Amino acid sequence: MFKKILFATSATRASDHAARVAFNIARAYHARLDIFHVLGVPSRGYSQVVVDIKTRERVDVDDDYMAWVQDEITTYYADYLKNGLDYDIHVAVGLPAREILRRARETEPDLILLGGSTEEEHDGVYKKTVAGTTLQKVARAARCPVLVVTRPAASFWGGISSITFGTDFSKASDKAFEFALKMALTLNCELHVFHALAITSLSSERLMSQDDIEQKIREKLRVIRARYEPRLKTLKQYTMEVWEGIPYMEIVKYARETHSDLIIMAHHSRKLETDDRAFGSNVEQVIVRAGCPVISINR
Amino acid sequence: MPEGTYCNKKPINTPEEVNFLLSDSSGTKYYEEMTRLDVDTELLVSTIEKTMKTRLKTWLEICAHCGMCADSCFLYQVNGKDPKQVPAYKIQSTLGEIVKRKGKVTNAFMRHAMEVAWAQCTCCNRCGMYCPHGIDTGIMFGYLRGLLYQQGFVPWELKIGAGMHRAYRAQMDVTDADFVETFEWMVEEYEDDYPGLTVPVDVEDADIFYTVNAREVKHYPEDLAEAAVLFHAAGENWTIASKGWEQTSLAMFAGDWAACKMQVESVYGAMERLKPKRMVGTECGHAHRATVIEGPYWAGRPDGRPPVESIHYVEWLAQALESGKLKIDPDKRIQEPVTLQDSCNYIRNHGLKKATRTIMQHIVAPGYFIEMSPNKEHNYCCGGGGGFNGIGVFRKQRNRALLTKRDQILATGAQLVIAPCHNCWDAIRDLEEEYEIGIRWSFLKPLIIKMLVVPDHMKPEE
Amino acid sequence: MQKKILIIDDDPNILDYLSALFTDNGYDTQVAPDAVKGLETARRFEPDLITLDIEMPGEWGPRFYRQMMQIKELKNTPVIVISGLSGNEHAIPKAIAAVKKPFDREELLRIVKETLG
Repeated sequence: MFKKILFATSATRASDHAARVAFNIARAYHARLDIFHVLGVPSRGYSQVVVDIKTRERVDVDDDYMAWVQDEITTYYADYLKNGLDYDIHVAVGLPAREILRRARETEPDLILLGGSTEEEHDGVYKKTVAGTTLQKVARAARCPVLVVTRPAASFWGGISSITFGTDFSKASDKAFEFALKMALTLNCELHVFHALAITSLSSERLMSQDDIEQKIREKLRVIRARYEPRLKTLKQYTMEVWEGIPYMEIVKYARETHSDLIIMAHHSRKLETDDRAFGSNVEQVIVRAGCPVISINR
Repeated sequence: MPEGTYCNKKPINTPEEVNFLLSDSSGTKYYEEMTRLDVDTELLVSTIEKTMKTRLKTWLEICAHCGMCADSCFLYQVNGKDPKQVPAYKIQSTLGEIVKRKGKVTNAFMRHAMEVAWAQCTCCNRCGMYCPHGIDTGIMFGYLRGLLYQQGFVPWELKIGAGMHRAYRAQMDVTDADFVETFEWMVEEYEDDYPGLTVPVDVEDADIFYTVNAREVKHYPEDLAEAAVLFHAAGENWTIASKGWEQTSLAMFAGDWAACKMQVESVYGAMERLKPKRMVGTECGHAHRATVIEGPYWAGRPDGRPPVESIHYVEWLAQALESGKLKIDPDKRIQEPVTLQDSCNYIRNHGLKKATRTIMQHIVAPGYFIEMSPNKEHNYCCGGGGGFNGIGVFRKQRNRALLTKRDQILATGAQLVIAPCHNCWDAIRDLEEEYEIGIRWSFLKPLIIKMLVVPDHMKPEE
Repeated sequence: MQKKILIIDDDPNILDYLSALFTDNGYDTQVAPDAVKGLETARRFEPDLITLDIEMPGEWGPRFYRQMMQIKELKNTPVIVISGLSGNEHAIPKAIAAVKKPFDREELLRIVKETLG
């Protein structure tokens, strides 16, 4: 399923829960783990000075410093790295999202795994210069699935055996379904296909009547059946469900009810619409709220 | 010790030599060796005889010491009006002394001259506008830097920067292949949102040949995509060159005249090879000065101009907006107080004040654009020009120099600063980091893209 | 009637210790060293409360919990998570409590008493 995983980490507590997911998945699925850390953001014109992402101090970067940081990461993850894990540690200088994407372009991983970033802890100067957070930018531009762990609750709790796939019936969702199905087959998981019916839209404040809602739910269930069920029949266990509400909330709740240990969703609005640091789209809201890892797929 | 291992008179020419100098973190050994570096008086004198032309000689002689230049210099103002920061004093006590003493100066003198040349003058050329005789100290310091570089008395980062140009024909270790690859990568990343987006490479007879700053390739490649999007939206027939794509010149900041020539000749080579109608450079001030204003002289071009008409990004943008090639959605114009930092290198050296103001009219809703005071050709240096931004040993002086711009920005009340220049952008970024005044800063490209009326042929399918 | 507690943990020392602690306090206990045996024992023993470790060889605690929820006789049985894993309070959102190893015995007993009345 995963041969090569790019794990982008701050190598701080903020990434600890993502690390547990990364190392356990790599081990469980015999993947090569490419541990990648962006140590600093360029500063002071064309000089060699960078702002260290962890300490916020300004440091002169040279080969010795890079080697030292690499050693630090090896020490930080020493417990995980024992017993023949296939891994590689790589450090870089630059803006984190860009460097993660650059690395992914070079190594072509099957999965990018992102943890919570130190950005949430600090209010560094550098990120005011480019719109959006590391997470947003990587999720939008990556050419492979991106797995994100932001809450401790979304850490690794023993493996993947139940997947919630959230669909909005878009083209991108079809791609995400293919991936979810493949994953469920390979890992022998339950697959729960879910659609959330948005009961309000921004354009109209008017709520639908419950009769209308239930009519729509029946319609959407028929769409799910027509679109996905023939393929789902290859699985041992699957369910199909449509709930009404605020879509991202319903997906998070549904995943909790089905004890899902993974949510898979499409990410198709790729433009950065605002400078707003708050997550805009549905999938981004799911990412920050879910009690399990979320994989976002944009193509 | 005449010549050090790290610090010596020999320019660095290869990637290996660049890496060797980089391995001396912060230039610690480099500066230590510099304290024992010999001054080659004979070379100094012969260089002056060969290269110091009438204009500079006259300027040194006719300075009346009237002091009119004092208040024009932001470094004089920001350093408590220290008489030692008066431009006339600064140049007379350095270049003037070298000439007067016929090159018989000590190592300590040269190190002092290095500090004055790189930490007490950003070559912003503002003093030249206020001198009754028209003496431009900035130009003279540019010349002094050349003499100092030749003798090995140059800040560590700039020795490296000039070496980068010699080794890579770029200010950073970005190869020609890296450049093209990165540009293509960025276009791939943006093409879903802007169907039809491409990056034409080495196309002959294009209307526009686009040149960049290597830092965009290395750290901010979105800038490349944004340039492509805007050319595409404007329907331009444009190209990049796989060789001769770097417009900047840290060699100019370093005073490495030979490297200046090598660098600019690589760009001119591309112009001659591809025969475009004109060149458009990215949002960078010193790159414009190097390639468009000074470059023709370094390259010995008889007409004093680049091989093809060459303009700054703000000129292209102003024209595209005026002609309607690019259309702005009026509802998406900037609707908050915003100010503009014009680069000395295009505003004083090339008189582009109208271009940036035309752009402001298009992209800022009426009443929100607030000029700094003073502005246009009287604007102050960002505080980090002429190489000042990157020099570690003079960081303290540079941070102090940022205060002028900080106070100018604060006085406008704007929280958004537009800076169509890498150096200014860096300086403003650093000043926010140092002084935390709560501002944002931006190049023009990302702002324009947000408010652009996207032509139908560029709208994504879904 | 004596209340019944099932202890699931892969560490035999913990099993011994908890078993002694609960027995001394008047509870009937059984132990299981992993999730599969835990489920078998749970079906037979029908405990009033289960203490559950998270990280165990084979299936982890959350997997046990999910399977247990699908068994009518067990789905309402309260579970206390006892684990050394950081963030263990998130592992099973519907557990009635999450206790971090090393734990305070009085605190654990208080939670058990509160739950079983």
